[in-house]
Amino acid sequence: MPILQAMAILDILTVPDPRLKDVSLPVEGGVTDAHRKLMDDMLDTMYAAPGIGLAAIQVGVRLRIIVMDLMENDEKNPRFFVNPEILETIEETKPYEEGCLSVPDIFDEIERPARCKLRYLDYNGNAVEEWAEGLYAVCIQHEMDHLEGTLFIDYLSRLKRQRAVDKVKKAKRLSAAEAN
Amino acid sequence: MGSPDFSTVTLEALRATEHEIVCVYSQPPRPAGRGKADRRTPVHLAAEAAHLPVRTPRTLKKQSEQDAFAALNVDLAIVVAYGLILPPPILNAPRLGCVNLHASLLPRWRGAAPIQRAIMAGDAVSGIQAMQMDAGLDTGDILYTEETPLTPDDTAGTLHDRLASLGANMLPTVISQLANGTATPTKQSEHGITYASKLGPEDQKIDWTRSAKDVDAQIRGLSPFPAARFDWTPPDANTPIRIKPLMSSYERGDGRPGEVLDDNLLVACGEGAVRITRLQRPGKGPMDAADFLRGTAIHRGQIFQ
Ligand SMILES: [Zn+2]
Repeated sequence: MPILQAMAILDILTVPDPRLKDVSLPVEGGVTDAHRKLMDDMLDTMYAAPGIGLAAIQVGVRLRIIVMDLMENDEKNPRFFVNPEILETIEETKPYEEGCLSVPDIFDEIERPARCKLRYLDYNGNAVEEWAEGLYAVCIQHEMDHLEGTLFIDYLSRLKRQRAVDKVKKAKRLSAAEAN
Repeated sequence: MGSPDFSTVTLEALRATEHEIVCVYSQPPRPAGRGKADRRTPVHLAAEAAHLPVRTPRTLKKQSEQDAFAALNVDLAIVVAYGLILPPPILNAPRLGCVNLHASLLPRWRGAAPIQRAIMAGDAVSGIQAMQMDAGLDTGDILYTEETPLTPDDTAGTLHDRLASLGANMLPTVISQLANGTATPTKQSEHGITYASKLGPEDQKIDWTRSAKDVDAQIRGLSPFPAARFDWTPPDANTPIRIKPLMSSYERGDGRPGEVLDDNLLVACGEGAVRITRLQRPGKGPMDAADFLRGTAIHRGQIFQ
């Protein structure tokens, strides 16, 4: 039984796609139904992948939009971010083994501020200000890097980064060959 | 598969059909505190009473749990308020897939708290739907729908019970349609999607500057659980007590938001006024307003925060 039939699943860009280096543009004039449709489809795409966060540029849309679901307590509870900003971070940093749907099957430890204060518009266009900590802080900082064209592998040594890109390219070639 | 009372009603309905129930999945028992036995979920208890096999894995992400489920070789899984994520190997294991009973008219109120969110938003109609589950958040095709209008007397509690019984009634039809191949899966609309995000403490606190219609909807939408709340400092006390209103209506009324306008719990809002007709204070059970006021007089002019 094809269980994914009902979902709107978009293609996720992978490295070294140059669009992943683009700086995303602010959403002007508030959150519209078109933005919500994009967020719905991004959410489906993220769950199907599966992943816990996705920035619009990862599906080729150059807008400052992010969807996320940390699935805490093994329960789905999605979050949506339009024009997110980090207002403040604390000095303490924490390492976390990050991964990325645009750099599949590569994981490495990245050090980031342990807490950050966010401001964003939610799915309904309401302004929210809140502190993020734990996995939430890790994930939102990772996703917001995407909006600046930065990937987590950009924090690694040049050698490690090149190896990661080569590995993704090779895996993609293999799966394309399999499909034919 | 299920955990709260909703699933107990569904399980009873399933037992009344000619179908064999191979296994019941429920969330693991919760620790009940010192010296007490862990608390099993209602559906767990109901399944045991009916001598049905019960499994309570903590997660279905593990390969071993997925294999154990696949080995049951079931035709169909019915999922009601289960609360664990079903990964694709689980969704794909039953011959006819997994069918979820979802307590809203999709695509409105996808997610964790559809019953409460529908009332809190002042929806005129709600319903229960049988949905063919996929890996998304309540994105699957709809197999069957029962609608019910919402009334000014509805709370999350009354709507829950009504939807549970509508769901139980439609379940035999849904199952036979799937079994004999006459089911008509219908795609959800791409328009009108909303998300019923989990309820947090910020949803419970009453903001008296909102309209009376909104405050009334909030009180009823969160009743009986987790309940809306506000603080009131009795004239002879220094510390506020936390009050949980459980039932209300709204009417005309003018005053400063939070101001009590008569001796029968009419409270001014940003626009109009809310009359609280059932409520609870710490350490006491829920009471009708008249009984509450006999023990705790709240006069006109008091301010709720
Ligand atoms: Zn990423």
